[in-house]
Amino acid sequence: MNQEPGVRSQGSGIQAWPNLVFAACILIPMLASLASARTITLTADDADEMASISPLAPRLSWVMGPQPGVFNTQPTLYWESRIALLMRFPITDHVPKGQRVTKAELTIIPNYVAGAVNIQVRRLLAEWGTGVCQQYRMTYPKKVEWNQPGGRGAGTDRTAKDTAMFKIIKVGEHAVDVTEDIELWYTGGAPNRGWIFTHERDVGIAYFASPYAPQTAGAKTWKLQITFEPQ
Amino acid sequence: MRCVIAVACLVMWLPLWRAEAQPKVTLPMPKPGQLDALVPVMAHSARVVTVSDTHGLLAFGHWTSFADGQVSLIRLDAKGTPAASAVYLKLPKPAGLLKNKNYVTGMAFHPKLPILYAWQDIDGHYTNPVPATTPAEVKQFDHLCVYNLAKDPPELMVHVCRGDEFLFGQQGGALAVDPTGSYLYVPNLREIKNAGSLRFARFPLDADGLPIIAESKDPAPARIKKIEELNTAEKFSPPQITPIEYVHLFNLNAYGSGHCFVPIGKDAVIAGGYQGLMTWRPDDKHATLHGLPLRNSGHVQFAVHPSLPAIFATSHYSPQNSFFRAEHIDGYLTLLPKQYVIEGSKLTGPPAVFSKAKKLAVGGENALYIIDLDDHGFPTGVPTRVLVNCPQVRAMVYSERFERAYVGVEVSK
Repeated sequence: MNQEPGVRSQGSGIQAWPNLVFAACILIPMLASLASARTITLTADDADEMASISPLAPRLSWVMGPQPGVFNTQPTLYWESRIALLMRFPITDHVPKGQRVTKAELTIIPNYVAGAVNIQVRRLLAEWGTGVCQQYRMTYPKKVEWNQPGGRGAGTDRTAKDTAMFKIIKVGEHAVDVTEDIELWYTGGAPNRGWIFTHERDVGIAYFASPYAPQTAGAKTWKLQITFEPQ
Repeated sequence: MRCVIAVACLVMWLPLWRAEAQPKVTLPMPKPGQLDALVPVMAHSARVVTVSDTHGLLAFGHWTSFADGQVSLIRLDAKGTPAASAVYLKLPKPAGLLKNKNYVTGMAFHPKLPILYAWQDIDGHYTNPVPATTPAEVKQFDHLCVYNLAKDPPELMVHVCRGDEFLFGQQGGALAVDPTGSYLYVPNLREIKNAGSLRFARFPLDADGLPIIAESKDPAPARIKKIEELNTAEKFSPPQITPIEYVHLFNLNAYGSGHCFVPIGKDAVIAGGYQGLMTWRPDDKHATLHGLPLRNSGHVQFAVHPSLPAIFATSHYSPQNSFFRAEHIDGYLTLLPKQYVIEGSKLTGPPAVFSKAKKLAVGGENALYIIDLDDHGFPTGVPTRVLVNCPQVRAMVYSERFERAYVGVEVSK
């Protein structure tokens, strides 16, 4: 039977090709991705513990700016050298079992910079929790002090060496490699107590969207990308 | 074929989508049940309630549809059983506002003295700037009423807090007295020059439970007369007021400032505000005022666990299906609040903590939701849904002495 021009034939060998190509284009990469590397992006919204501590308010868990007195956790972190940020991501809740972490990158986005701000990233070694502040790493169920105020004890409160350092001289995205830390936490090589972010020197200030700002999108600007593959 | 592929794609990517979801806990679907420690009390159109374990009294604050009074007082017997009848209080308002309706948004008992403090408001339309059509008599409307409960019937000792410094037409605004009876926390103040900049405050209380702005050794009648003179001149202003921060913490909203107060000792108070929780430490220069937002902005009401660092809050303009658990230590808010979803619920009111029974109750639409708490005060298990005759449960309070929660319900028809 002759086919009229413009009428498509169901099941015709040649004309079924577009469907097959379409399916292949989608399925092959996806099947491949299941068998090989995957990348997930966490944001500060996924963090399960967070605090911002400073001698400006020695008992407060949320010091968000350089002026003592009035603090709000949203929308901005006015990050000057006396403020240390603590943040923990529950890695094993997000990376399935039986994987090998191949890459992890942490990205932050300052939206104002004055001076050259170097922000150190280190793993926290000491357990911290409810009531964490400049003076104490926890105050419940009992008060436990940091080895050095503000969690700055090298080799005790935090690691002796930096995992990475953000060198901030302009606004925009800044990323550092944190693969080793994520791998340690994922494998259980070290307990996951999160990171402490501190200024390297007592100069400069940078503004960031607050990592805890549930009524704005600020937390989305703090990204942790983890790439992993089956072992 | 394309549909199948599309579904397959979605299924494959689902785990990744879940990995980026907001951290929150969804509790199992509630099961129907009862709770013996829950005592329904008939209180029409009740918006707030407070209990005095010391004096064995309940006080309900009513909305405008209740004609018998703005406050009803109900005695509790030695076992905590409410009396069958109530004493109604009609709160004062200027003669020029007779056509307007007044209502109570917050109440507090003095912890030792037989005194009830009530914060009332008047129906009106408050905006920034204040509408030019606002009746002049609104400036003579006194928001704070102090009742002596030792008298029968209760006697209005003094009514104060009027003028441009106070908001009107608000649907919220709490009161609280600290456990030592030293301070009365009051809501709904504003900057004189900026009607959109809200604040809250506290008055010291004298030995008779009267709010004062200066020490005086005069006898009570003379002190009351002095308070009234200052109030008439619109000079009875709280001596300690929160710092100005109208951009993020104290922005204009329908529920005023100080939606809920829980004093922590004598020196700090946790408050509910439009954006979430706040702490105010009037005498602390380092951390005077601190705000910790919750995911939902709106009418923030909460209960503080008496022995654990847990705070349970609801926060909404309209019924929502979730509540929050935050933490504090010595009145310092700490760590991240966590959101708990009760599937199928519409939560409307403040939570109440049954500390000894390790339970949490949250008011909803025609129901209360009872949630078990573990030893650390975290919600656990399957919530119980208890039906109550109230379209939106807003008035619920727990008594530590009687180990019961009282909830205002409508009269059965």
